[in-house]
Amino acid sequence: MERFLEPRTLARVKDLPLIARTVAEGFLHGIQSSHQRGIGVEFSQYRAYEPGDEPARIDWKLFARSDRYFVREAERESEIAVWFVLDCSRSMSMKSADGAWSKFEYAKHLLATLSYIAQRQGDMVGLLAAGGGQQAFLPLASGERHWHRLLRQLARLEAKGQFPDPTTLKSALRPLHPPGLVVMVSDFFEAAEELTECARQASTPRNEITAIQLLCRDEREFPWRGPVRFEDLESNETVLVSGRDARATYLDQLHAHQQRLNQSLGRHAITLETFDVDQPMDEAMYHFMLRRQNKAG
Amino acid sequence: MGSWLFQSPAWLAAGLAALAVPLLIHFISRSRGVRIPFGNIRLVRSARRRLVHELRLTQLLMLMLRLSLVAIAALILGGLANPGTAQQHGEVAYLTPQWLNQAKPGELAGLVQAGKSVFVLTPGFPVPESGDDDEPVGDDDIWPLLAERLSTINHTGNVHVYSAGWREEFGRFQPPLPTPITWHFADPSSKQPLAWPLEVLLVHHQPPDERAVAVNQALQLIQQYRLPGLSWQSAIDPDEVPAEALDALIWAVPGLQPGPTTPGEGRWIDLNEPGWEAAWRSADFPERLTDALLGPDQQAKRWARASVTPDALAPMGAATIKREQLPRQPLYPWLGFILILLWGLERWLSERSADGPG
Repeated sequence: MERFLEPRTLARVKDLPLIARTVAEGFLHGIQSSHQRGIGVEFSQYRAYEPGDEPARIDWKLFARSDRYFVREAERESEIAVWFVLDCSRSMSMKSADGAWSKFEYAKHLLATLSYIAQRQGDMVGLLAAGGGQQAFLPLASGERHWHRLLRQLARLEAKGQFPDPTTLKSALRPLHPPGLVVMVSDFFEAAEELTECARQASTPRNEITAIQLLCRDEREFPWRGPVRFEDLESNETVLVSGRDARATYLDQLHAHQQRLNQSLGRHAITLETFDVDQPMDEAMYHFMLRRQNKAG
Repeated sequence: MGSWLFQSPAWLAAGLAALAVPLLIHFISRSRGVRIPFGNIRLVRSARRRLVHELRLTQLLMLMLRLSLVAIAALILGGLANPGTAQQHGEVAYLTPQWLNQAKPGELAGLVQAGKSVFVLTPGFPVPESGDDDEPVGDDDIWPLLAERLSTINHTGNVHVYSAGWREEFGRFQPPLPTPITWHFADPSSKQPLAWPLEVLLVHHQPPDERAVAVNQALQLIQQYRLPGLSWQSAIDPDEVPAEALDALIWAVPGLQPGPTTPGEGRWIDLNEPGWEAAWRSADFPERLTDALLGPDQQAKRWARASVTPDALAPMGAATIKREQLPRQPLYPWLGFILILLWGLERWLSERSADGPG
C-alpha cells in the first residue's frame, strides 16, 4: 500500500458510509482473504451434491446440461461474530490543535470501516457503546442493512461524561462472551480502571479481545510551551503548568501509563494497539492487520 | 545640585499612563495560561507542583521587565536630563526686566559693587499655537525660567530675585523652587510702566488682512512682555496722525509704497521690504519687531532708570538667560542602552516561555 488517505481529506467528506467504504475498499485491496469456501458472493467452484446441502445451492442449469447435481461454492471469509465496544466518555472528544478529527470522530469512522469490512466478509457485527449516561446496544447480525443500522447508532452517539462502572454493564457484556472477536475502542484514560475492568469482564477464554487505544498527536507529543492551563474534559479539574518545562514529566508519565495499561490488559491476553488519530486511518489499519497476520502466522 | 528635569513632561505623563498596559495584560492573563481541554489530567498533575511556582516567577519577572521598558521609554520621551554640572559661586541676583525699568539710579551698580553676580531673566515670547493665534502657548512669565535656572545650576551662595512685583511678571505658574530665595521688590510708589512711552502707528488696509492681524498680536505681546509703555493705533492713512507724535510707523499696506511722511525721529518699518515680507509668519517676529521698534538709541535707554544699557549688562554674565542656554545633560543615550538591554532580556524570557503550541 503506497498511498494512504489523509484524515484531513476524509474529514472534509461528511458522509460516514462513504468514508467507511472508501477506506475499507482501499484497505481491502491487497489484503488476502481466508480462502474459506462456502456461502458467499464470489463464485469459486462446483462440487458434487452431498446429502445435507441446501437444494437452493444446486446449479440447475448445470444439472440440465450434465444430468448431475452440482452445488455452487463461493469464496467466503470466515464467519465470525465481531463485537465493537466504543468508549463514549468526554475525554474522547479531544483533538489536536491542528487535527482533522477528534478521537471520538476517528473512532466512529474506524468502527464504520471495520464493520463494513466485517459485513463484506459475511461476519456478524454488534455494537456496545457507553459513556455519560448513554448506552447503545446493537445485537449481532450481518448484512448491509444491519451495517446501516450500526451507522445510525454511531451517528447518534456523543462523547460526554465518564465511562460507566463496568458492574452496570454486566448484562450488556454477557453477549460478548461467546466465541468471536471483540474490538474495544477507547483512549483508555480512566478514572478508576473502569475501561480495563470492562475489557477484562468482556474477556473469556473463548473470545479474542483487541483493545484499540486512540491518542491524538498533541497527547503523544505534548507540543505546548508557555503557561498552559489544562482542563480535564471529564472532571473539569484544571492544572496550570509551564508547557515547556512540564513536557518531560508528562512524557514520562504517559510512558508509565502505557506500560501499566499494556501489562494490565496483557494479563488477560488482551492485545493493545495504539492508533494516532492524526495519522491516516487506512495506514493504521494496514499495520494493525499486518501485526495480526504475523501474530497468527 | 537640583533635581532631575524633564524637557517634555507631557510625553512623560503619557508614557507613565502607558504603564497600565503591561499591568492590565499581566492581571488579565495572570495564572490563566492557554486553556487546553485535556483527556487525562493525571499525567500533567505531577508536573504542576514542581513547576507552577517557576512559571509564576517568570510571569512576575516579565511583568517587571515590561514595566521597566515602558517606564524607560517614558523617561526618554519625557526628555529626562541630568541637571547639568554648572556651578554658581557666591551671591547671585536675578533681575526681571521690569525691575530694571523701575530701578532707581545706581541701584544696579550697587548690586554689582556688593559682589553679586547679576543676571537678567528674559523669557521668550510665547509661541502662538498653529491654527489658534489667539491663544499663545509656552512660558508666559518668568517663573519657569527661574525655576529651571535654579534646578539646573548648583548655587552655593544666597539667591536674590529682584522683581517689580507685578502680577504679570510672576503670573500663573508657581513651580516649587529647589533653592531658598530672598525676594526684593521695587518701591511700590514707583510701580509705573516704562519710563518713556513708545508711540507706534500701524498703517494697513481696512478691514485688516492676515498680516495686519499678526502685527497687532505681536504688538500686544511686546507690550505685555517687553515694553509696557508701548501704545499703538491703527490707521489706513498715515497722515491721520501727526508725524511728530510718533516714535515708529509700521507700514503694512500690501503693494503700496509709503508716502514721504516721516514720523519725527522715529523709525520706519516697511513690511513690504524683502527682509520683512514673510517675517510676520515666523515665531521670532515679535523679537525682531521689538528690536526694530526700539533701534539702537532707544535700546540704550531701555533700562535708563537702572543706569544700564544692554551692552553694559553683557559683561556681568548672561544678561539675558534663555531656556535653551541652560546646562543639561540628556540621558537618552544611557536610557536607550538600558532599554535595548532590557528589551533583549524580555524577548529572551518571552521566547523561552512563549504561548501556544510551538
